[in-house]
Amino acid sequence: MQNQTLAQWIFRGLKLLNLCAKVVLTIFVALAGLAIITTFSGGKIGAFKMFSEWRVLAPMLLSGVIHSSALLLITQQLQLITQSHIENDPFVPENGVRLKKIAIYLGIMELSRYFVQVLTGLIIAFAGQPDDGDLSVKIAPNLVAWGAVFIILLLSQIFKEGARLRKNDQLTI
Amino acid sequence: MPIKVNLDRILVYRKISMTELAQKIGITLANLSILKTGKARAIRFSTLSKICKILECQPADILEWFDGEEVDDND
Repeated sequence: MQNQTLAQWIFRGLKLLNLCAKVVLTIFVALAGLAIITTFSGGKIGAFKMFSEWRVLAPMLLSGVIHSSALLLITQQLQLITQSHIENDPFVPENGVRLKKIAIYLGIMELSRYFVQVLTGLIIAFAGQPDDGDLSVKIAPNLVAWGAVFIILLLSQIFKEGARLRKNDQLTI
Repeated sequence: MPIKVNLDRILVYRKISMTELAQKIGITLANLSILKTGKARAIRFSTLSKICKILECQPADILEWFDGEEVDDND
């Protein structure tokens, strides 16, 4: 009973986080749109002049869109897992697949970080440093992130096996 | 699953209903139905023993192997 209440609170928290991710993604997409408009207008649209430094903006927006999308997808999967726990049936094969998806999204998030850094490096190399900024490239693998990917993948396999054993047990007369 | 469960035939022969057999074995009718329809993945020796005792038969009278497609345990 206490576990159910906790799961319900976690579910509500995830719902809120999911909503936040949606809002942040919308903001980043809107900013990207504004940046594109500003670029095509040659920075002449007054209100959007603050977005005129594309060398800073491009990696930032790309990173923002990728990370908020990943957060959105991860919270969606976590919501589904929590929902199955609330319904008293968490050991289903679908949850193994959901965990695997979360691990993949986390992996993509980490890889996208390197991609954005490489992109920033290319921007510095071909377009130079921005006038009033200092872009720097730092490609260092985040061992915590890769550890999380590995652990979640392992958990997904354990879930898959657990669901299989449960099904076998249910069909053992 | 290339194992056929011939429970129907013996039940008719012994004139025992599914409900009665389920009650005597101590399993649910739903589980006995899973066994009868061949949907079961495994059968416990204890269950098989009880069935044989009540129906006065041998395991081979209930279970029959035929050359069919094997079912993957991971499905």
